[in-house]
Amino acid sequence: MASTNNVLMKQYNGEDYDIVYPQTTGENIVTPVPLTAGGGGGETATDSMYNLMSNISNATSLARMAVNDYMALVDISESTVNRVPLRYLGTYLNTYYGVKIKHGQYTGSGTYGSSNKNSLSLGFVPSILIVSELSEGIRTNSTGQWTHGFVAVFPTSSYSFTIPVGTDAVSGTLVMSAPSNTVNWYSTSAAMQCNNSSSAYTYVAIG
Amino acid sequence: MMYIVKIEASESGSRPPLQEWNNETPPDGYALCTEEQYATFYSTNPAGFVNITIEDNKVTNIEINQEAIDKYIEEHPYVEPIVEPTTDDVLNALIGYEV
Repeated sequence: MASTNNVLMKQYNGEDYDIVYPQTTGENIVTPVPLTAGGGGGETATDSMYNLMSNISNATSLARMAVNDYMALVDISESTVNRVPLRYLGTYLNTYYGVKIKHGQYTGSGTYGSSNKNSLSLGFVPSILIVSELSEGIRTNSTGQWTHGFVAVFPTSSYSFTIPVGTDAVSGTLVMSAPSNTVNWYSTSAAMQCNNSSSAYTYVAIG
Repeated sequence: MMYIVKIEASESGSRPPLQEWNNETPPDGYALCTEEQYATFYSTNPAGFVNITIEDNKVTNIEINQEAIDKYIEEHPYVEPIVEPTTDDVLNALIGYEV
């Protein structure tokens, strides 16, 4: 009598024998299918889910990952029960770990002055804002003013303040708004306001 | 790439530079802009003098405000920057030395 293990069913095709695989459902498989074979490697669904999440770094391709995919984090949105879209990860980190950072770029429009302020929406009250002209990089001129960018360290109190800025030849002042979710600033020239026409600027804000 | 534009223009009619944005929802006070609208926003020098129409947090129409641009240029004529003298310049002037 044949053993229950390693049973091969064969069917004669006229010349030799083809192996016939019986129709098997997931419920028939009693041995955990390893991750390397596409299984979950666990005796239960919970174990397999844990194994899959713990071994995601072993996946050879994450090309299918998209911004609306979910992560196995606690729910922080009423619209996504027990799962969190990647787009909410920043909110999650802000809420639970106080990580508040935003960076990006903008192109200068060429205007300056108190009636033509620069403005950035950050979504949090910043502690530090760094703005720099991409092609030049932030530095100081011979009299110590920031040129081609600036570093703003915001006070805990809510009031506007000034930052010494300049160009390579001229000194000036940049007026920074009181810290809020949106920061505004202006100066007496487009260069000192970090708003030269068509120039690319990069910024980093830390809350 | 998506951008956001400040809904309320400044008193001169200008708007701050467009900001890159990676969310379908703009922050309060801002509206979403497309690449095409970005090109219109920056099509003048100075840029950002545009009138916009907004529906559902999105810019549906953007037009250049030439009158505001002309007024801004009139009020902000180009002035050759006065170069501040260096320490060497000051000392040379004091001793009458010309480079």
